[in-house]
Amino acid sequence: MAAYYFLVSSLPYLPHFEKAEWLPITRKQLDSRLKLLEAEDRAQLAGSEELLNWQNHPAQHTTSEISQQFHHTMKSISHPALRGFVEYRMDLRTVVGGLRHRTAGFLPGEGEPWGVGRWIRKIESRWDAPDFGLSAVFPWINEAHILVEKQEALGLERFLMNLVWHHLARISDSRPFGFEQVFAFFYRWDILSRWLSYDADAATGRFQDLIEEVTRDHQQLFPG
Amino acid sequence: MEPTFLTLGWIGIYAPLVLGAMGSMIGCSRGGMAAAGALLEVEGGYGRFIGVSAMPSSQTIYGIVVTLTLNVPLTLANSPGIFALGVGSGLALLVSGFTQGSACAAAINASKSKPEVFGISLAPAAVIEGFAVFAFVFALVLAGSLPE
Repeated sequence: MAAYYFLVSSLPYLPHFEKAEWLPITRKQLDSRLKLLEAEDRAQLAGSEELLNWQNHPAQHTTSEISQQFHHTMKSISHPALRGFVEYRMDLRTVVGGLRHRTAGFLPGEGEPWGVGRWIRKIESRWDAPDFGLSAVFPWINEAHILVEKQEALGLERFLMNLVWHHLARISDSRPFGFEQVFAFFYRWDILSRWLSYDADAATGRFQDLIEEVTRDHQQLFPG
Repeated sequence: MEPTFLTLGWIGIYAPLVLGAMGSMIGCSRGGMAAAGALLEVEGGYGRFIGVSAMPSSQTIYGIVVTLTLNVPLTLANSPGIFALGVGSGLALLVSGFTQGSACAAAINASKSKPEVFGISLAPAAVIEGFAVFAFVFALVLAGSLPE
């Protein structure tokens, strides 16, 4: 517990992902700071990342396999706030997956399961309702439904990232200098990292600017 | 009965110092760890972070003064009062040390990435200090009205 005062203060400020131009801390540096976590907390965080990071799932990974991994991961996580966050992320994916499947003309109950978590039956029972009857639980579902219908992939991604970002901000504020603040930082860093990787052109442009800046300084130092 | 009352009196004399010191230890530890973490992120101004982390030291000083004030010959008449004043003020100093340490840690965390908020971010820690001063001053005032 006491080490969190050191760890939290050693993490840099993370600007909102849409306003950030670069990562304030590299993955290597972040991993090095996270070594200060107690072994159990570090293992739980790694387990949650294994499940939530989509890059860890090969394309041929079926929903059943992901479901199994979800239940296995939930058994290994004892921290209530982290459990809540993992459930939140999986619910979000299931609901958005349901919206996408419905738009694609998929009907539930045909073969392979299509989602994971506690809302599957409820969604299937209200498949034709725009909000699956869940707008009281997920107030954002109508907006997500509109974006899916319009097939605005980037807009939907930005919307979902914003949702998770603000959810993590609330978790972070719930207990300063605790594990909550650390894992909230970790997942917000992940959002920021993904968002910046989408904007490869901007990154290339900035790289060119930096090269020009360095070259210009060099020319001033050694004219001719 | 008499030994019990006198023992309470001795506890009352020592409590402000020991509880205040415990508060300072934990408070300075929290602030100090936050300062050490912030040093990894900033390029300069290290001294002010370490300085802020030492803010909860004052609880020990207040505790020493209250202990010295209450340190009078114990009687059956004054022991219960000394116990009440000593333990009450000591507990106030203990809690203020904990919480001031957390407030200092939050101030250090905020100002490491936004140096311009350094002064204002210390306001909550200063308010907590104010409450500790109330407990300290009123312990001294009430000690003056203890029976012989």
